[in-house]
Amino acid sequence: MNPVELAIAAFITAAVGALGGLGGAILLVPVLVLSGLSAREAAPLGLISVAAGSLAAAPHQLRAHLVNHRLGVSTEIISSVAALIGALASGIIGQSALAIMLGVVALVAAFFGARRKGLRNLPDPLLTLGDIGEHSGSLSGVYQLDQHEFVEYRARRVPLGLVGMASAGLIAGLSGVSGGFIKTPTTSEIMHVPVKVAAATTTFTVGITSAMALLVYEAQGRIVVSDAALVAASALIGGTFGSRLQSVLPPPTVRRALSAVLVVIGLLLIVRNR
Amino acid sequence: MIPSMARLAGVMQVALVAAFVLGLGGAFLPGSVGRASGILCIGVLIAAPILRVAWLSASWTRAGDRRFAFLGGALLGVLAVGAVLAFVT
Repeated sequence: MNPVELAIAAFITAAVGALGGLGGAILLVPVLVLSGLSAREAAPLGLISVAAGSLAAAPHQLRAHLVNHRLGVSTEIISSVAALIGALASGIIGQSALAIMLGVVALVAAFFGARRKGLRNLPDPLLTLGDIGEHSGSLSGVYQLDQHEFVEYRARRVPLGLVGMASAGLIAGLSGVSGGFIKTPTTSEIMHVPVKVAAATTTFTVGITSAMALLVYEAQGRIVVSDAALVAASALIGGTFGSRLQSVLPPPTVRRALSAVLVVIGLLLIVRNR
Repeated sequence: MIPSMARLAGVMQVALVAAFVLGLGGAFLPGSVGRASGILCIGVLIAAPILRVAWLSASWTRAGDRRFAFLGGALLGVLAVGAVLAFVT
């Protein structure tokens, strides 16, 4: 893959990753491997894309109060611990079996995301612009649906959600991809957090996971600096674009786009590892 | 917007611009200057989310939201242990 193709791939995957709260690695790594790069070389570039996409989305998502940081921090603890356990146990499960399992999980998540119609959390006419943001001391908040509509939400079924987050962390540790494609559907469909907040919160947490993994790759000397810098610069633009697009699209459209991307990911993983 | 969050958004904006400029330098500048620029770009990408969690923990501590301040500190602890374990193993 030449530098121009690498830059374009990093831009597109980071934009889609920020739009759907998936992290770009789950898309970029298969593309790089299909283009001839080894999985060992592609994984660090995938994580650079995730970290850059997360940083690119941060200023806009912070100003729009889209991220529920309390939810992100609470779930990331169990997810990080599970990722560590997964990384330490990564030799036990065969990579092909794991990839097929990931593909099935992605397809199931896509099905549940696409099946649901309309909005779960409806606008409250009593809420105003001054109410938006996360609530102190709880896993709840208010987000802006459109110019004059505001929606209150509260994370539900938290223990079950934490099981989902632990699974995402475990799979991330085992496979080396970001668990965003499990975290966003878990937050949205199990914990009943609006999809835009779920995607933005996952974009925040995958940045934390990728930072830790990048430290490891740097220590192992696995990062090709010039390629990583090119991917970072492209993914920073892509992530900024994706996060702005996420703000203007209606939630059902974001959910359908997320489902479509998950189907592509699922099929790619299953077909490549049969 | 809560003042602390506005400042954090500003800090992330600065980190974003710095990472982008350093990334361009790493991709297109030749020799050791380009390499240093690329390494600094990766450093910013690693430091930004850790700084964000530390900032949030401090902000929650100041606001008296002790439970989540503790959780933020615990997450930083998990990250530190993870990094040490990764380097050791």
